[in-house]
Amino acid sequence: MENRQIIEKYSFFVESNFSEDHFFKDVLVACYEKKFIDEAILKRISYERLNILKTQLKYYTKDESSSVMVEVAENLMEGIDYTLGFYLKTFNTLELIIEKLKNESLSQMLETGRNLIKETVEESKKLLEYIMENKLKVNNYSYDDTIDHGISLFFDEYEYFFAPHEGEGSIDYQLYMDNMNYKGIEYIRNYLKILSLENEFCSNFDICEINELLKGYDKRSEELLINVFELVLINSLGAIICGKSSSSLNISSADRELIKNKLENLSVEKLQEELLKEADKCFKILSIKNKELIAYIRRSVIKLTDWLYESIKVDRLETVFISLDKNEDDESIEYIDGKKLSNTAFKNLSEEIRECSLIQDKIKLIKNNIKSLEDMIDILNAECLFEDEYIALFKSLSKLELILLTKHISDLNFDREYAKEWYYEFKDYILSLDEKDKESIGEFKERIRVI
Amino acid sequence: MNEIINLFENNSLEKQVFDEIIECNEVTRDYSLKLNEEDVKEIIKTRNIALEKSGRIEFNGQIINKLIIAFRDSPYISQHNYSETINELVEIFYNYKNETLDFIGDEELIEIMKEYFDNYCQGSLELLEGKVLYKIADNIRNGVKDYTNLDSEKD
Repeated sequence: MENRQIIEKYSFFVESNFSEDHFFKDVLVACYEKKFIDEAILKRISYERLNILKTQLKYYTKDESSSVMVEVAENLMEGIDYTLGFYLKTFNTLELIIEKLKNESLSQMLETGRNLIKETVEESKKLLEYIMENKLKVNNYSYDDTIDHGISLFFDEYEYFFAPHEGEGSIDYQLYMDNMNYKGIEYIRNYLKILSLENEFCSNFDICEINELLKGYDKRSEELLINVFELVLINSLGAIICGKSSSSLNISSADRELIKNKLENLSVEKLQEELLKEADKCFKILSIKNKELIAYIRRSVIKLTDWLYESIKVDRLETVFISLDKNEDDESIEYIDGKKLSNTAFKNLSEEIRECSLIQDKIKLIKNNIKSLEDMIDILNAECLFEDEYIALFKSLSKLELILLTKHISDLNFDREYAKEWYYEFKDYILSLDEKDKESIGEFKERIRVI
Repeated sequence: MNEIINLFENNSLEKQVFDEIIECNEVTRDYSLKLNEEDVKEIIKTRNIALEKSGRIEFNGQIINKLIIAFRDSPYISQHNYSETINELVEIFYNYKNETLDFIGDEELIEIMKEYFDNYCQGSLELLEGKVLYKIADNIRNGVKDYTNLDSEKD
């Protein structure tokens, strides 16, 4: 009989989806509803919880104030619940949790929870150090910035005593499978663990190939919020499906055809099965033994199955299995902008242009005085030219100037930026050029970087 | 919000506050000041409304006692305006806890109120609330170090 009860409790625990962020309250409510704890215990816990809050409020106000804003009290209470939940989550079964709730005082639990949080902070700091030392040499700003600066901000600001559930740092780099339900140090611990696993997997591949893969994904991949692991995992699976060396990441058009032929007739379930088999091969070939990494990759494979299935259906495999960008001629061109006019000089020039009645005079003034892209854009925005005059000016511009203006317009976010008249005139002018010029402007626009 | 407030209110804090205010009559006897049970109930009601209006919760109920004890020797308080004045002071106190961004503690705020009430305001609650505390709160929000100085400019 007792055994049956235990099994029921166990199965209840497995079925119950306690939230990560309100674990303590969820467990308490669930245990009370299922009668695992009685009303007397619940009352005792509520009473102790309130007393803890009172003590916490005294610390918070340095005992100088007997009242606080409701939001302050709520936040402190959330911190208390978080710390209690942090401790209770260390037990694997609901039975153990119930035993603790019944026999241990809340202040004891809080104390242990706080110590665990402090330990976790220290462990996470060490893990961050390890990640910093072993980070991938990839060209991606969000990856570098998050590891080098963003996460440290969390530790600088973290308040384990009053607000253990808060703190975010400045994390831009997206993991393939992040858990946003975690809060405070739990979130950072989980983020760092997964980041470390993703790095561990990627470090099995040649870093030059990874960078070529990122370039193949997008010429400006260094500026994008992309996940490196996702791209590497997908291409490594693709390589294995094609029977290539597992450490190669390149997927050609012919490879994509081969992948399509192999996978196109599979149902989603069969596709998942197949991908998991390929992942198993990958573990063997790359000698991956880390169980956490193996589990993470398997979960990632399950996540990407639906997307791959849809991509096969619509014949868009080139967006899934990316070809490496090995084009060495395709290096970026750096443009260093010329000297800007002073505000007064710019004001005088724009007034002078407005006073001109002939477009030739306006163009002459612009050509002789404007030496920087920024000033050129400002002049175009300053309503010095009207209607056909824009086209006349554009005709007088060099190819480089046209490329720079094209880049400026394509970089603008039109949702926020008020579209100026000259944008439309410029667009019409570019469209009127011959195909060769248009193509060449488009190509250089991608490669040019304004410094 | 409700959960926390209810939890605080359910644990007989009000009864405790009531008894403590009644006990204050012992201390104010020498100044011929006394609150009857109805007065106390009214003051507690004012406190509860003021707390709710200012979005605050109190975790021990000593503010009313502290105000009574601090103001008991004021030359501008006598039995005929005693209850009414305490009521107003309670309301002003919680309002200015918020307005001063919790920058000053209870004791200091009460001290400031008493000092200005007895001297600068000569017993005028309107002056205390509308001018003195308004200026002090403004000073605090603007980062003025000498925030109790009513003639101060921004630092």
